[in-house]
Amino acid sequence: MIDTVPADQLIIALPSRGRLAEATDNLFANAGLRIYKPNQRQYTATIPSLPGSQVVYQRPRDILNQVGEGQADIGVTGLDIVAEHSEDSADVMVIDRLGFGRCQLLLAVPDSWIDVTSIADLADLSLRQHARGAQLRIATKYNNLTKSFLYRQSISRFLIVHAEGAMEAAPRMAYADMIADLSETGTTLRENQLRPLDGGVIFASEAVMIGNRRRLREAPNKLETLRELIELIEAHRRARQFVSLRANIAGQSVADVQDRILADPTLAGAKGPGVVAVASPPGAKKHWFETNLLVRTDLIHKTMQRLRALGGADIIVTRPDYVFGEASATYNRFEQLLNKYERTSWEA
Amino acid sequence: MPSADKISALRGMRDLLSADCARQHAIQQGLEGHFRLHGYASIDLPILENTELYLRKSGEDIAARLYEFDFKSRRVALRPEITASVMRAYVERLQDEPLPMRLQYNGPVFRYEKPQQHRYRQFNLTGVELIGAGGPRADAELLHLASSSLERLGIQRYAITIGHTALLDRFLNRLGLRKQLVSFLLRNMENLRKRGVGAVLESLIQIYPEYDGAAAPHGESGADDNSQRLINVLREMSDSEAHQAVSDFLHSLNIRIATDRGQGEVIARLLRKIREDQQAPKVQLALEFMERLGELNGAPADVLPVAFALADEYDLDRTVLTALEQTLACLDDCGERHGKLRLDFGLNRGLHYYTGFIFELHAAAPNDEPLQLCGGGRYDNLIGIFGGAEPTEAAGFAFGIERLASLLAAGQSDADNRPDVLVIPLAAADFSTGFAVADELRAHEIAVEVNIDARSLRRSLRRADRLGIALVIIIGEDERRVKAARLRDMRRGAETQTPLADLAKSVVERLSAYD
Repeated sequence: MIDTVPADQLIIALPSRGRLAEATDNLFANAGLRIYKPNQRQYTATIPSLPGSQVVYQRPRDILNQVGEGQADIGVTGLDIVAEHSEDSADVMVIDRLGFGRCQLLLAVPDSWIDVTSIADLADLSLRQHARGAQLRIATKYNNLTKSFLYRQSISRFLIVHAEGAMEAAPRMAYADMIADLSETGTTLRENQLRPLDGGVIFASEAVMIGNRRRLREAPNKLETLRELIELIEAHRRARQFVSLRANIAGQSVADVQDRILADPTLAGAKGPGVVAVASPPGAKKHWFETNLLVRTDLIHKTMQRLRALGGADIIVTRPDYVFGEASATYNRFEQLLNKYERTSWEA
Repeated sequence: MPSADKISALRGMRDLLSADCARQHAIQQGLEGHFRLHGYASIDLPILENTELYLRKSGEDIAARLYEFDFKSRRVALRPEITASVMRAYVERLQDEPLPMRLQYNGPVFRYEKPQQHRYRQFNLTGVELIGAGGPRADAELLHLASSSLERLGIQRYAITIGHTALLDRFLNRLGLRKQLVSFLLRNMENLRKRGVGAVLESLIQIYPEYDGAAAPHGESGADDNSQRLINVLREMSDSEAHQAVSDFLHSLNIRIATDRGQGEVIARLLRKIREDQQAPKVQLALEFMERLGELNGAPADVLPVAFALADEYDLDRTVLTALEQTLACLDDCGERHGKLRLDFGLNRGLHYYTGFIFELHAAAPNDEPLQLCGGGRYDNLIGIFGGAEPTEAAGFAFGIERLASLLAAGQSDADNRPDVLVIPLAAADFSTGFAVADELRAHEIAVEVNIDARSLRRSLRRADRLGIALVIIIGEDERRVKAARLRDMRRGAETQTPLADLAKSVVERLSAYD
């Protein structure tokens, strides 16, 4: 399937199901990269507005493997999966955090353990259990993250019970004493009579874009396609934080209106506003000037009031699709990371 | 996909190629010989051990860096250090032997850590264990042996740092701190000195927020006044009264404690927790003491009097310091090392099993961070912890071979690794003569390679030239008939026919003329 893709196409692995799937498709669509699936059952798709690319759908866990082994160039998966399975890979790199699919990997104990509320309690309990010849058993599918977290907390007496799925039931079914699992809201934990431990957040996860460093380094064509993808997503995500605010302001002259705007620090901005004269009908009493501002979403109302105070009217707020900066910070960071892990750099 | 991707070495693992390999072997052998001259017998122990061996006392720092895995339902680990294995072997097999026992070991260890310069995930330790001997004389023997080893290797510029774990141990024990807090504080001694009490407290609170004395003035649970009154009532009750009261209380609220651990145990631990002394003020005291200890750092004559004063101030047993003073006195007579000694009560070796003096040797590098070459100390409890029949004292140290090699790398060529002589039998019929000649030379400790390239003499001579081989011995049909060989001096290009009977003598003479 993948073998038929032209060699310089950027192969993008996206989640086929699970909590990240729909959000990923939406992110691409909103960034102007609508994904075209010729057939709902097929696992390949295209992005018509990004011709140098090819989409393959995979499970998030498999996406890490596909990217790690170079069958896909980039992919979208959970940071939890990357951290758990790929700590030591020289090839897998995190290109960008995508800001959705947030959840926490956390330690939870049975409600009945009224004596255990904190990590210090857990450390104490694990030693007491061990002294009695019992092991503190923790069910999780995140063996590595859980282990290294507990070691960092000075807890070394425990047994990881590897479980895939439905581990909330483990304490009740008595194959583990407690669990370490992903939670978005804590509802599932509560329903299963489990309670998160204070200070027991092992890992904060979200969706990330990952890439295969080796494959990308070798392919300048793919890098061009990837740059377009990264910049569109970045500019789209930045656009969501801003609105474009347009107003007519009454005044004497362009200079007069400019001065009044510049005198107000909330309106002046870093680069100052553009002001243009509006053509007034002959004999009009007031002269109008138009200005355009890019404003953080949470400041819409405040800014609007300031403009009114300056004699503003016809204040129109629109949402931009993209906000591009002078350079793409994400792409620049990616380029630096791309060449960072030279195996030989630390070796004699 | 290309069908045969090349396979790379694992990250942090190193291929030791010929010149480096020869250098490391030479260092290992040098140390081994030196230890043998001091009565230390070699042992060789498994690289793979039960994980439990490292969980019991090494501390979480080591546990977190273990190469540990389940194999056929058994938890096994690649050894991260060798002392634990030696003590295990002692308990298993050597307890009936006479003491004191002097043992030495040599081999690779594995630690999963961030690879950086002079730090690999597999590296080699060469060290000694002195079992069944304690006190200043034993400690002095180890310090003397470690420092004389460096001098034997030709390293003159180094510093000896000596510390002691007992002062801090005793202070923390007397405070009655929880075990995980003691463990945390010990791990952070170095951190405390570098970044101060505030920084250590901050990272403590990050892990254990309830020990934040400032945030919860009513107690570690952050209880309000009413809860505090309840806690006070429970504190005043007897164990069984308190247990009954909590049990009744839960029953009246219709709260059922359904867990494998059992209601009795949960309530008992809850009560213990409620009635336990507050830890936060003790942490504060511990940090203050550690800060004072960390300042005790300098020449022994300056530091010891201050240390005695500190012990008196905190009412700690002076004998620890007296013993240390005696150890240093034993070394005084080895005059030349005196100026290299420094006492540092803030020294922490990162392993939890030390019970007495600890020390490190660092190379004095003028521009760089000092490079740690050796570390060791006393661990009198370890044999007991591993199930020894009776308490037995033990102490030892180990050298990091890669560190030594990096220090000795300059000014060495890979000449040691090359053969001195290449024997070239021209025809198949000449091979048995070739082998015989080579064996005879090897009996004189001369390194000989027998040429196995059948293609051409010129090609073989070019190889000898590239390898920098001094002498070539050519055996062909003409030579076979007269029982002789052609001896070719590669540097001068001159050839002489030499009877086989005189060959060895002639080669030895020419080679010694080269040196």
